Amino acid sequence: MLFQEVSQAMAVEKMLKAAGYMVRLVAPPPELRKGCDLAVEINLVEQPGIERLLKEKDMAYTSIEPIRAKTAPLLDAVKVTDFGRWVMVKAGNMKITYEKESGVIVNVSGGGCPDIPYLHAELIDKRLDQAPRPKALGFTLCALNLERALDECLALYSGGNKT
Amino acid sequence: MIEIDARGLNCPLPVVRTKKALEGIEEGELTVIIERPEGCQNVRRFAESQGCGVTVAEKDGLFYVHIYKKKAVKSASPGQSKNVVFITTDRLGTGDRRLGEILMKAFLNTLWDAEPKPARILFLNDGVKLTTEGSEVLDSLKLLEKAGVQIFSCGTCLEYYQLKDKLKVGAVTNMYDTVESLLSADKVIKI
Amino acid sequence: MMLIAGTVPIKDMPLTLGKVTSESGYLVVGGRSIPCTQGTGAMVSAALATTSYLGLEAPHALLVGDIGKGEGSRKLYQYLIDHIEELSPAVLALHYWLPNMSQTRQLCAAVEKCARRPIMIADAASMYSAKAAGLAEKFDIFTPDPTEIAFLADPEATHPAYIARHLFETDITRAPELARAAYRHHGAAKILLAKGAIDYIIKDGEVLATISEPNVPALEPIGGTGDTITGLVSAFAFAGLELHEAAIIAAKVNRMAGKYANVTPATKVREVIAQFPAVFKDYLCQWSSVCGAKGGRSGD
Repeated sequence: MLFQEVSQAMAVEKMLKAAGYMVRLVAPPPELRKGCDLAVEINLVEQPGIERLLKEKDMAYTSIEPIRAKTAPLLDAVKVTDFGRWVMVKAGNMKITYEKESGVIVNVSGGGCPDIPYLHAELIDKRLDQAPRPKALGFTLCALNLERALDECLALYSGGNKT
Repeated sequence: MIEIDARGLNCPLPVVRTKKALEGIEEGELTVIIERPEGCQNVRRFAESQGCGVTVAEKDGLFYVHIYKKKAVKSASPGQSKNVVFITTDRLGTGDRRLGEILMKAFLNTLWDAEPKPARILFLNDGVKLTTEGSEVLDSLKLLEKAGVQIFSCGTCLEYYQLKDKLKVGAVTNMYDTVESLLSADKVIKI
Repeated sequence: MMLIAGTVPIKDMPLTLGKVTSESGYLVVGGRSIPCTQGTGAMVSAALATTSYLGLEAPHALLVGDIGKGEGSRKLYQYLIDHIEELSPAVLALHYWLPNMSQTRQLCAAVEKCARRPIMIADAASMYSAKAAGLAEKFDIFTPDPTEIAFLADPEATHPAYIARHLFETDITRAPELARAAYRHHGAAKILLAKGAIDYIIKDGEVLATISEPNVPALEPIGGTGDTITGLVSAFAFAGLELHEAAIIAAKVNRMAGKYANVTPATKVREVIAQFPAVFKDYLCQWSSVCGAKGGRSGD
């Protein structure tokens, strides 16, 4: 996590530690440096939860970048499978399946991070447009993919094309 | 003497434990204690398929399967090839039925005389009628088995013909093993 | 013992270790009820159904509540790091938790000190963590789905959300090719049970078995049907089956249970698990390479 000013990095590190996250103050690799010479190293998997917390606390940062330079950008590919009465939307490693007629979510599958079984319980049997947003409830990259899947489901369903 | 207490274990675990125990010794004896008759049969068949001697005693509702493993002969038996005979009918040829049955009897007798003998004979479809009660070739097949030829009958076929409990020689096999036998054979002779 | 470790979506559930039982459709561990739903609950249920049928000791589970914040996961890892040597399980199956490479390294180091090395199985984020930490080869079995095989094959990806797009867009028939890449980049366990429309059992880069029947496409959307395969293979490994055979039979059981349950995309995973005993009774002997053929239903 990169910052413009040292004070921002230190404040964020303190806040995240108090919130229970395992983070460290580090020097950013030269190729990633954008502002000041201090960055906060986070577990990339926890990016969505951390971003949400910073937004709630109105704390500034510049960006979050993977340390490994050759890491691909966040996958935004989506696949849709028609099961007749149901549609399954896959975004990254996450899948949401809903009933075409009612728009009710019947299944959530994929993933491996601990917020997914929780989100599964929260989303099942909810209508797409009434389901909680995974990005608002989840904490990990798996939740981010689930958010994308939900977005695509909503677009398909509300677009009148229920397939 | 190794003892394997397989009471309370469902198939295939008694056989899995027997297999592991046999793999752990070059020769020797072991006893497998089993509750269910099907488990007992499966262990017996497995041990026999590995060339072991087997006796079964029943006591107080339990089966005691005694298995005797002899040291394996390192070099291949001079009388045995890696060929497989695949018998899918109960008679030889498609002409007269009675002639076909007689020819099959003669074929199996001659097979017993022949060298090298096949490694295995697989019986499928109608062929399972030759390994079950009432077959006229049971003696020939038992001799072949005693000479080291493995005899297997298709389980699905036995069930189809309601002969599952009437198998008199060899062991039951499945499609997975049948395919493996055929693919790993030097030659497959289909009857 | 067989030990399964993972998180469950019960916010304040403390770290709990105990033998698993079942009551009124719920799992019970250390006096706490856990639902049999997608995630570690489904995996434990599948393992319990298998050990119950085979007549083996029930699995033990080390569970903690964590809905994604990570605190529970860290306690779980730490407990294992501190106690794995004394627990000394025959099988250690790691499942849902917040990936943490540092703690994964410590856990693998602690496992090396066990008097008898457990069979190591990982799925879900435990698998992500092991691969990202460069420790995949310390594991005996991984059970990745198609996206996860692509993740294992991508040497730069630390999470499936970051795999290269061209790898994501491959279909399951490229799984063997991706698996070979995963082995080349040291991102694979000794055995991969690559689950999908076709299941592949791959050992050291070579495909040992391909399972495509029965074909039950509706299994894919059902949350937890990947978790059940992991539970099955873990239990069969605990039962003493050769690991590749445990993987083959696990894949077959999962499919056949889906067929028996007549699943649709709306089916819940507990309905699939409920069919396991019937599938075991009809097919387990037949599918085992040591027993003879038996049973089966007509038309199968």
